[in-house]
Amino acid sequence: MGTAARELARKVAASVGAAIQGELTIAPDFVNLSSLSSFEFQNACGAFHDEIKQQTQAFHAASSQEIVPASVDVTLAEDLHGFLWVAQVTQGQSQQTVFVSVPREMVAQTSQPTPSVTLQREFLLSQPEPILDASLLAVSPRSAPSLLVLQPSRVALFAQQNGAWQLQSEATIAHAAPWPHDVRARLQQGADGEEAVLPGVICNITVSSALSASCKPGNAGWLLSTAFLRAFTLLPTAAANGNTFTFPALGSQEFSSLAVIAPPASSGASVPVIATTPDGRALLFSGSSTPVASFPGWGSDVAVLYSTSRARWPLLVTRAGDWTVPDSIQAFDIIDRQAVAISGEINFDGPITALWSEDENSVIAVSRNLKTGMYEAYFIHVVYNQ
Amino acid sequence: MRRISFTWSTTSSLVFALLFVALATSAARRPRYGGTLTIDLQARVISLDPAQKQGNVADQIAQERLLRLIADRLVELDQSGQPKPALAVSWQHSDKFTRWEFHLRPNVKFQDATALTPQLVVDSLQAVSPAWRVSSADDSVIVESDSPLPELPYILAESQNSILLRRPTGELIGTGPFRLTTWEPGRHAVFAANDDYWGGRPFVDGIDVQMGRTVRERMIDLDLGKADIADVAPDRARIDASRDVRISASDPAELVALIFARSSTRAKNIHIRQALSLAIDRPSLIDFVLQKEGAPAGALLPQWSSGYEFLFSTASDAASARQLASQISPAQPLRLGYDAEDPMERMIAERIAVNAQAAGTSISVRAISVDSPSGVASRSTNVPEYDARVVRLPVSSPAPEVALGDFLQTLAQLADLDPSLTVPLNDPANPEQLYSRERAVVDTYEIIPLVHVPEVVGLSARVRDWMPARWGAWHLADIWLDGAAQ
Amino acid sequence: MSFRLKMFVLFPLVVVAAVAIVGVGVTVFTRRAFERVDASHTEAIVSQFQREFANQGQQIVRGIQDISGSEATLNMAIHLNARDIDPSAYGHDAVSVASDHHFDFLEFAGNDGSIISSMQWPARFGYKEDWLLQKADWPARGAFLQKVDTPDGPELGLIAVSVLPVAGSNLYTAGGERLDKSFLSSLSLPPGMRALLYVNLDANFSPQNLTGADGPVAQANRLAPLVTDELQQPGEITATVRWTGDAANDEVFHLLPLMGPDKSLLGVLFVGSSRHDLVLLERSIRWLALLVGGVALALGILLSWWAAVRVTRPVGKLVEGAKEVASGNWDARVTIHSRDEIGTLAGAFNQMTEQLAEQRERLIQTERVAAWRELARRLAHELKNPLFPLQITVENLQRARAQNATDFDEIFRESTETLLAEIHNLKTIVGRFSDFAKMPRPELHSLDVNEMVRGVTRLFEPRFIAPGEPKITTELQLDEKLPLIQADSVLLHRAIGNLVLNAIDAMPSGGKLTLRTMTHDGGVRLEISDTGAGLTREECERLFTPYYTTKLHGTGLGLAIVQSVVSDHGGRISVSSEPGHGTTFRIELLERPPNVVSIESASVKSEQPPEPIMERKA
Repeated sequence: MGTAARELARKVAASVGAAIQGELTIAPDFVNLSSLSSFEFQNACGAFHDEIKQQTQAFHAASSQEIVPASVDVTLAEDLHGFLWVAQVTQGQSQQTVFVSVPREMVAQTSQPTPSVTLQREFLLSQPEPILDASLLAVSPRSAPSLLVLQPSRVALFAQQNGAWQLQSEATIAHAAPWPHDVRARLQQGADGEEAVLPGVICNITVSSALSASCKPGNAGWLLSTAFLRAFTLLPTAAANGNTFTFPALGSQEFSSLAVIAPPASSGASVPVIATTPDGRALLFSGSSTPVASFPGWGSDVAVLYSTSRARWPLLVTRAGDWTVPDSIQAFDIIDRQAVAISGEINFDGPITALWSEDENSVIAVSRNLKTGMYEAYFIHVVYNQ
Repeated sequence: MRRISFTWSTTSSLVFALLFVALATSAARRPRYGGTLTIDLQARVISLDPAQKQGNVADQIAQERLLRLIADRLVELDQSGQPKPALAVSWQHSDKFTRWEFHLRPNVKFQDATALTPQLVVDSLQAVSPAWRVSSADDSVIVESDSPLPELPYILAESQNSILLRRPTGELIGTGPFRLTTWEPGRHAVFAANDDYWGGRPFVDGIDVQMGRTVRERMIDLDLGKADIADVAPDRARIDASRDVRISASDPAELVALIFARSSTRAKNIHIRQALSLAIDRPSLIDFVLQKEGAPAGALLPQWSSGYEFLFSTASDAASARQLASQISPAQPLRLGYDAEDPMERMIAERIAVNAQAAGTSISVRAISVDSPSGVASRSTNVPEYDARVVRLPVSSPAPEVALGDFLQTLAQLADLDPSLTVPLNDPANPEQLYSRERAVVDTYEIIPLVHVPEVVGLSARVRDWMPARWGAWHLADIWLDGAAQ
Repeated sequence: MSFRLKMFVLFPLVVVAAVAIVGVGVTVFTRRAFERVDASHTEAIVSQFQREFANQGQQIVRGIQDISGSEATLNMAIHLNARDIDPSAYGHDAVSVASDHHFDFLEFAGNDGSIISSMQWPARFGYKEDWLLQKADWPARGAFLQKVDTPDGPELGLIAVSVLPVAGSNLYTAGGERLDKSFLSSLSLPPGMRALLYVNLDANFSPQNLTGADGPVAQANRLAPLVTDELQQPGEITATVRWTGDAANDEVFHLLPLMGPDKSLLGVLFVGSSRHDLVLLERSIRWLALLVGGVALALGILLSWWAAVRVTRPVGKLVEGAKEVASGNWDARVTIHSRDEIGTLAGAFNQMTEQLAEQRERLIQTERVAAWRELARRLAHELKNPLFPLQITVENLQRARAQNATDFDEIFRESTETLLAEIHNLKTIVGRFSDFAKMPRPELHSLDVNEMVRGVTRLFEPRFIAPGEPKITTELQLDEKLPLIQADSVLLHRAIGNLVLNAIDAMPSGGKLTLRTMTHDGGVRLEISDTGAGLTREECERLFTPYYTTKLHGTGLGLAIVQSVVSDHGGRISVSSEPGHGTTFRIELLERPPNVVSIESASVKSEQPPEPIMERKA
């Protein structure tokens, strides 16, 4: 398939010459209408990219013609005989279409892509009280890390003893208004150290000899990652219950979570955003307030493993269903607006009540065990297979 | 490693156990011989002779289906539409595709015990396609043509190229899996299994075909088990499915389009036709008229066949349509005709009229009677009573080049098509040529593709191994009837 | 027109007039009666229509509420409310539901008014019915008229709407029945009446929108003006439509506007009642009147002929008698044997003529005696004057002879001279009488009257300017275009001379004499005016009587001669005068006098006129 994609790239280059300079590297629109798996399609697209780059460079060297900007839409379709690569090159007013046929028998489809990541679960602790978030803290460089656990009424600091986390100290979170019934909150790195961000309340956590929390009213971006906040200047508005919010860029509906799923392709380009709504829909937005895709079967919690080094950011996603059924977590990648599972599922004994990204490679997941009724906190580590 | 292998063995045993359960519950077993398959058709087939064209598209398709019961062709198409041996076991072609040699299957007999000889094949083919030079040599048949025929195997796979013995009485004898025992034109036909069929005796003993059955009759027959297979109008499929009828739909196998009458003066201006095309809301035709059976059509060939239909826009643009229409403002409304006997055509025509009206083009809808054998318009009078009409054109072959050729032939008969657009392509298998030809045809707006519609059938519970081709061709010799299900 | 003809015409006229009055009266009465019946029928039909309308409306409302409240519709509403449910699955529902409820129209529409399923126009699914979204209290509105779009164009329907709210969004069920000929056929109409329905759905009148109970209406275009009127100003209108030249085919239409909920005119109900029976009755009345009139006319003519003959024959005799009397036959008598007024009239006529004849005879005799007396008095007076000097002279002569005077010779000579002079005087007087007695018949020649007037004036000129005579100025106003007339120049000259003399006599202290000529009625008029003392009316009347004079001296023959001359010329003389303002004599002469022999001679014209008769003052 890659060969055909390269041939297509050569045909495109030959048909428009200099025009495709640069433009292609920004946003060639690839669409897969065929039965070819996304995985293989992506590979083929990569081959197209490579080839077109080489072709344009070669062309540049050979030509001094004026460059007319062009855009290329590449589609992989299927006809009776097999696969059909179609490239529509729009150059000013003119449009050209080039085809490359690939007989079906020449495409050896691999049945299922090998998962590109593996999810590993690490049990942290279990307690009857709800766990909203947890975070590993290095209290001092030499000592073993502590575990800071955020609960609705307090923060607790655990230390590892005999392979288990033992409560060291705790501090009450003062709040005037009652919490929402399904309170959500998270721990994050603030300017003055660790912060607990709760609905309408921000607490500075001081971990010294004893744990203390000084809380004050505050309500800014508490559910959103710093990456998200970087991507948008206009910030979401929290709803009255503090658990959901609206975001002007995406219309007037309420969301449970918002996540930027890939770094912007260039400055000024729109970033793809996954949003989940309280009614359990997961929507993909890309530069407008109309969703371009929806992902049925996803739960309301989506955690993104942001990375500065990788081009694509895996999403950890829970399953749809209410809190009476066991849940699972799976890693997905969004390719061509379609969710592609890139890992197997990790099953839990109960619903996931909280899912927050911890660092580039791990997330915190809290599950309520349906059999025991205990809240269980886990680290989910993402291991890249390649 | 040990652990892994253990895991595998448990997993596989679990899989097998599940498979076993699945097989047990779906009662999968060896095919059963016997039984009479009953078929209800809306169409009325007057003659099985492919030389005698039928009234409308449904009759035409039914004729092909019944003909395939009694006759074979040199080449068949497999499930994916690729040519496979039938009466010919192999073939070669010259470099320029002007000469083809087909080696015949040995020991094949017609149903009257006449042996299949190359000369009989030559006679049969030559009668249908006088443009070819067909000759025989030893065990093979040679087809020659001045122009290249790269798609010849596909053409030979069409029903019209069935190998038939024509008796002076008009009786048709084939080599097919069934032989005709009773024939009441337009009403009833009975076929019996051909015990000596070269492909092996079919599973069912016979096939009883009732023709001219109404929607209601077909539905009742299916419900009562009086029919095993009944054709279902696409727009009825959803309703029937909601009544627990087994519904099987093919890939889009039929094009519903608007064709502008050659003699129409009101639609002479291309902008009128273009405005109409822009006004049509194809998705709603699919959703409401066809009850979600089918796909909006921007081109003549369906996506599964050509692979490039997505390049043709199917979006409606009422604003542009209105703007175009306001520039022209035709004095009289366009007359849009539909087959008086086809409720789906009527509904489509009325919907188009509504769309057009909303976009500022006035259309009056009228029923017309179709008396042309091609099933597509042309009244006996010279002046048609319509400017455009809804036509249903079967995708005659899964091969895009063949199907497009047939579309253009039909279109050239009916519409004011530039003759250059019907000139054979140099390399019809080349998608770029095919695409540019189709693009040129669609851009004339002499034909406005509307929707691609599948072939839909309803099945009784006892029909097994129903595996029609994706474009709707039936393989009745392969199906069998589950006695237990009755 | 004669009295007989008048009588003859009057009688039939009276008969015809009487018949006509009766005929017209009966016709008008009949027509009014018919119109009253018509009006009551129309009213009944209109109320029947409204009743039918209300009944059907209630049925429709019930039906629509049934549909809207059905389980199937509720399920539809719930499913449509659920997310991502496409409504196409319900596309065919309206058709089957409508056929179950026998509705002509039925639509289901979603919360935004977009059609989910339409029975009347299945192809319109997805398009919006905006009118459903208006904030209306649908249950309170009941059934109403509504324009319903169908593939064959808009139709008029009696529609009801029911709203099924499910979780904040509405499912509209709108349906009803077509208002068409089947609706009209549900009305029971008396013979001669019909109901038509015009469905007002196009901007202009279109004939196919007008239906009767039997289908399309012939000559529907004739009703277009009524519809146009109704469109301009909706309201109940009554008008007569003439379908053909024959008034019997006229039809009176009562128009009832059918309004939509937004007060727009959606239809018009025409209740038409044929004028056929009325016109036939009117015609039979007219024919009867004509027949009666004709017979009466014939009878009247006969009667009036008889009556006229009977009445007017004696009148005719009277007329004849009167004419004879008028022509001078004073002995004319009328013979009528009748005892009625006419008979009495005839008797009185005869008596009157007898008396007239007697009186005339007496008058003639009296006048004759008076004339003779006057003549005798005049004659005596005239003769007495010269006789007295004669007597004196003779006595003087005798005395001188007796005295034997010396100068006898001288006396004798003087006396004889005196005697001779007086005798001459006597002769002149006698001659003058003799002249009058023998006035000759005029001899006619072509005569220029102007020339004659100038001649007469010239003759008197010296006298006007003579010293010692009264100072008189003359003025001639002569029409130079005066035609020549046939006249006797000598007689006319004398007549004009007499008038001039008369005028001079009338102005003893001077004055102005004016002579005027002018054409008059084909002849000539001559006027002679003085500025004298004038005459009294009585004087004017007697002026032309012979021997009448106002002068102290005169025979009184002057003007009598003038009148005689004018009369002999077939002309006319008249006088107009007022005391103190002078007198004007006016002579009118014909160009050619009747019954007078004309002697055409050019030489006569230049002949000198004879000496005028001069009346010598005593």
